[in-house]
Amino acid sequence: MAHLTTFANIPIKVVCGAQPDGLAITKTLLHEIHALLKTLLETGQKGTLDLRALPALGEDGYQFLKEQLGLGEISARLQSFGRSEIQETAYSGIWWVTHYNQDDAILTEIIEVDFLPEILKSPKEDAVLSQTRLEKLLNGFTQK
Amino acid sequence: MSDISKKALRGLMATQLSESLAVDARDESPSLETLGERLANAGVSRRSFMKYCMGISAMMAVPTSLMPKLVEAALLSPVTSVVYLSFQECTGCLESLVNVFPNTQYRTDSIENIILTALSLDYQETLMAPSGEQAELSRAQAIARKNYILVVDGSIPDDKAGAGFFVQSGKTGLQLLKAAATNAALVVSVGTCASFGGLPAAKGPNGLSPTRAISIKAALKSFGGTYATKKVVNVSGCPPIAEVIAGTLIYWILNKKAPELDSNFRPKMFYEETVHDECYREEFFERGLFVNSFDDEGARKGYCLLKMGCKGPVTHNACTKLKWNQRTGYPMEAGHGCLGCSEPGFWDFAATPGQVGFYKPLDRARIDD
Repeated sequence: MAHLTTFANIPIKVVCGAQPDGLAITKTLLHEIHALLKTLLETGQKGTLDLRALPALGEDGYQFLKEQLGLGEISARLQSFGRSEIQETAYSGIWWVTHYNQDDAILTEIIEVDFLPEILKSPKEDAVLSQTRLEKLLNGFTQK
Repeated sequence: MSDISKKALRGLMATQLSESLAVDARDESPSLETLGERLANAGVSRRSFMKYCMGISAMMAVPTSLMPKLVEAALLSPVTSVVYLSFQECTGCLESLVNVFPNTQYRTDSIENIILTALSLDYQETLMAPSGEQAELSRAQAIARKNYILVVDGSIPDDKAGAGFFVQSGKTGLQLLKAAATNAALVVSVGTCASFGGLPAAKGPNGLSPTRAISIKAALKSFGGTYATKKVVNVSGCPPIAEVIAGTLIYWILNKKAPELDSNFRPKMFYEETVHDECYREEFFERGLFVNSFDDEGARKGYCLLKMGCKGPVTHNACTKLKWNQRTGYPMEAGHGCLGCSEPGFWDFAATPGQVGFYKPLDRARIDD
């Protein structure tokens, strides 16, 4: 039942009167995202915002933020310790990353400001291992 | 078979056993395996580990932006060894820890595999496969390798009036603890017994603990010297929440230091707030709506359980935030008050002067609004 307790998991949008408090926080958040994007472009330093650390955002604020950022061209899915959804927003360089656990409940939800989200990159150490594995495979072909 | 040949046979068996142990000792020479290598060998991907750590970052009050760097550093460092000792305890704490794993089905990307791979559990009497001298050997080896985390559950009888209440393989609890604590980088007291004495330290008919049980911190203090200043983290609760035990250990792996502690040496990240602060019945407390007897109208409406003896307002724990049994619920959600199990001396806690008992209502003057 855990996955039903998180409002973001319920595929129904409740339309109700906007609460100015939540929306004010969302607007502040959008300013912060703008600042993070500026830093990325000027210094190359990436930024993240943890949405769970902002309980004051509320349901309305959360939906408003999601609507404002919109959907971009890229959507990726990761299957590792539960699934993860990586969605580019309508603003290039701003990514909406949702990690689910194995029970399909939200584990983390973050906004990542980067050219490519960290979790999508292949770790260098894994690439080194792949090189060795591929060499073994190729050696097997030559022996045959 | 004569007596002499029996003796010879026993001698031969003893020699063979010591030889096999010596071979094992060489085989298990100090390993410099890094966490990254260990995870790769166990089939746990770096992404899985990163994701798990991102998931617990908020719980640990570590900004998600810092987590990738911490994980990267942890993957390059040697695997953390854990020596787990049990004294006067009921094994409920270990039961809680193994329940951190929500899925029983083995999968390489499952949380149990991540935690058990991230730590090297070198000695735990209930979970380990070896027994007897082999088990003792693996403990000795882990101690010799140094820089391990010593996890302890259960309290220990003192060496005066309590002497003889805990003896294992000819050694007292205090002797075993002293030997295991010598090279420990960190001591984690798991459970209220290890943290504060708990049930074994509760008052008997004469007003004293029958076994004169003391906490692990008190025991280490009694040894003096470097033992008295050893870093001890109390992870209290009867039992503690599984995620709190795992979270404290993972914090060490990622940060190579103990988390910030409160005045009772508990990690602030889990024990800073009371269970009352985040309780869903708290609004009824504010409105002065209380349950007066179990199954009355107030109970059915989910009113505050203060008058039924709930100790939530003075109990520091993460029950209402992290919940229990894979986030199913916590006592107040099941209609029962908090017993205050993560606080020192909770068995003998006087709710009002002279009134001891889990169902004695808490003195309103003690509630910090």
